[in-house]
Amino acid sequence: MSTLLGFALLFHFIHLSKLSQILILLVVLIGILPIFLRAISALQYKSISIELLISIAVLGALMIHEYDEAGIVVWLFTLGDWLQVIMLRKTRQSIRDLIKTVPTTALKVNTSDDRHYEEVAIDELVPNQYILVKAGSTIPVDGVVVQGTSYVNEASITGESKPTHKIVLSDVFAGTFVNDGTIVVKVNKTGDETVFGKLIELIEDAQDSQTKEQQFIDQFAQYYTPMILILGIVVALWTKNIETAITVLVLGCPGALVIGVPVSTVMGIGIAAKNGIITKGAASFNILTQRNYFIFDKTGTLTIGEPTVVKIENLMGEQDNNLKLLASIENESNHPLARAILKINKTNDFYPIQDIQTIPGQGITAHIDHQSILVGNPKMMQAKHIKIPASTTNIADSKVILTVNQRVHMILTINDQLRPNIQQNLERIKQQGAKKLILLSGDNQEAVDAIAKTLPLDQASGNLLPADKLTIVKQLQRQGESVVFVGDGINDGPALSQADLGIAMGGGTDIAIEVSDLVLVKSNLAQIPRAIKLAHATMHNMQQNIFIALATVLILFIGLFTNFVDMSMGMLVHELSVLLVVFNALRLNYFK
Amino acid sequence: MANFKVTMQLDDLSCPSCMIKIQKALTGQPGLSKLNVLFNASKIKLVLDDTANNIENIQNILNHLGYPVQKVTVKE
Repeated sequence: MSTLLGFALLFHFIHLSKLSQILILLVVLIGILPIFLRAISALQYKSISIELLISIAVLGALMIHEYDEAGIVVWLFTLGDWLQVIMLRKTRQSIRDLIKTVPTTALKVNTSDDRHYEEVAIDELVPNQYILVKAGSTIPVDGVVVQGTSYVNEASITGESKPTHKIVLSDVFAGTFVNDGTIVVKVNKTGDETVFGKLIELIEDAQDSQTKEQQFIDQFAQYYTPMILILGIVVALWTKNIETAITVLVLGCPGALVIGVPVSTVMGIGIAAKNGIITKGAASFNILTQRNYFIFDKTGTLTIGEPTVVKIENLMGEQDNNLKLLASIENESNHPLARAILKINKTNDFYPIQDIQTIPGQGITAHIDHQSILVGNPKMMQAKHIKIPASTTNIADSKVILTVNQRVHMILTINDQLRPNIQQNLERIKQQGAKKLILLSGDNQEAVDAIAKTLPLDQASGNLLPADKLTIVKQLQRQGESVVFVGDGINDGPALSQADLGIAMGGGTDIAIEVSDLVLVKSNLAQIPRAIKLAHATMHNMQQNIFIALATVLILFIGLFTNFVDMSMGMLVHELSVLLVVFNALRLNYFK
Repeated sequence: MANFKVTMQLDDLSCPSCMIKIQKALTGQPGLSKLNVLFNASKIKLVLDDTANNIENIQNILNHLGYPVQKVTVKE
C-alpha cells in the first residue's frame, strides 16, 4: 500500500495524473476493504465504530472526487492501526516476558528412578506423573521432589535470591530455577493452577481493571462516536459542504482518548510486576497517591517472622557440647524457636534421647546419657526453682535456657529480627505523604514498645486480636481517613480486606494473595515507597494522556473551523496523537 | 447445570472499541452467564453452561468480528 501510494504521489508530481489517480484508487480499494468489513460487522452488533466513521468519510471523499484525500486517509489509518498494534504489543511485553520464564515442555519419566526421559508439552502432564529437572533449567510445574537434591532459586516467587536447599519431599514451584543437581519431581499442579500461574493471572486481570477515569472515558466513548456521526450529518445539512462534513468524521475519531488511559495503567501494572509488586487493580495506584494512614502488623511484616539466635551465653561446660545437647532435644520439637536453635548447630550428629516430655508454654524435659536436661524459658526455670543469672538483653527477646542436672549451662537469646532498612523505608513512606504510621500487633505491649522505640512510628499497640485490628481500621474509616493496611495475610485477613488498600507480604501464600489488593512478592518493605512512587508516576502519565487526547480534538476542531486543517492533515494529527499517548506510556519503562 | 470457565486468547486486540464490540456481540448468547473482555491481556473470560456447542458458537462470532481465537482453555 505504501509503495503504491508513493508511486501515485510521484506520478502526480510528474503530471501523469491519470496514472496517479488509478494508483490512488487502488490504494483506497485495498485499504478500505478490511476497514469497511470491520465497520459492517460492528454495525451488525449495533455498535458505531471508528471504522464506520472512516468508511463514510472515505466514501464521501470519493463521491466528491477527492481521491488523494481518500487515499491518504486510508493509508494513514491503516498505518496508524499497525503501529498501534506493534506498540501495544510492547506495553504488553512485560507480562509476556514473565510468562515465558516457565518452560512449555517437561522431561517426563516413568518412575522416580527412571533416567530415560521423553520431552512432552506441559499441557499433557497430569498430577502424580514424574518429571526430570536438570541443573540450569526452570521447573515447569508445582510438585514434590521424590529423588535427588538441589539448590533452587525461588526469586521469581518469593523474591529470596538465596538458593533454597531441596531434598526429597521438599515442595518445588513452577518458574523457579534449579541452580545445581538433578531432581525428579512428582507433579502436583500445572499451568494456571501453579502458584506462579496464579500470580500471572492476577497481573493479567489487574491490567484490565479500571480506574474511575477509565470508567468515565469508556462511558463517554460509547456516546462520543455516534455523536460525531450526528455532528457530521448536521454539518453536511447545515453547510451543504460534504468535504467539511467528512473532515469532521475524521477529526472526531476518539483514538487517543480511548487508548490513553489503558496504556498508562497497563504499563504501570507491568512495571510494578517486574518490581515484585503485584497489584490486583489500577485503582490501587489511585489510593496510593492519597494521604493515607499506614497500619503495619509486626511479626512477619516489620519483622522477618523467623526467630534468630542473637546471643549465646555459655556459663558452664563446653559450648559445642551444650549446643549439641540443645539441638538433640530441639530436633524433636516443632516449635518456631527450635528452628532457630537448629540453625546454629553445625552438625547433624545428635545424642540419643530418653523420657522426652513437653511442658506447653514452658519447654522440654529429657534424659541424655543419664543426665537430666531441661530446655525452656525463664517461667520453666522458676517453676523448677532454678535460679538464672540476670541478663542484659532486652525484655522483648525470648530466652531459652539449658540446664544439665539442675545447673544452668547456657542461655540463648532469640529474637525476631526487624527487616533490613526498615527505618529508612518507613521514613520514606512518611516523606511521601503518609498521614500516620501505626503498628498494631497481637504480641505483648512490651515487645511492641521495644520495636516502636527504634522506629519512626506515630502509634504502637499490642495485645490485639485480628478482630481488634479490624475495629481500628473501621474506626479510622468512619473518621473519613483512607487506610492502607500492611500485613502478612493470614490472621490479618479481616483488616486487610476492610482497609482501603490491603498490602500483603507475599511469600507465595495463596491467602495473602487472595485477600489483599497489592502483594509484595518479595516480602520487602522497600517495595512500598517504590509502589507509591510508581503510583504517582502512573497517575501523572494517565493525566498527561487525557490532556493530550482532549487537546488534540480541540486543536483539530479549531483548525477545521479556521480552515487550517483539511481531511488528510486531520488524520495525520489524529494518528500522531494516538502514537504520542502510547509513546508517553512507554516512557514509564524508564521508571527508576 | 455444570458451569465451565472458558478463557480464549485472541489475536492482539488493538483498540479498546474492540472491547465494546465484543461485549455487545457476545452478550445474550445462549449458555453464556458471565463475560469479561480483558483488553490488555487480549483475552476473554466466559462462564458457559455447556462447552462444545457454545464454544464453537462464540468462536464463530469472534472470527466473524475479525478477532480469531488462538487458544481456548476450559476449566470446570
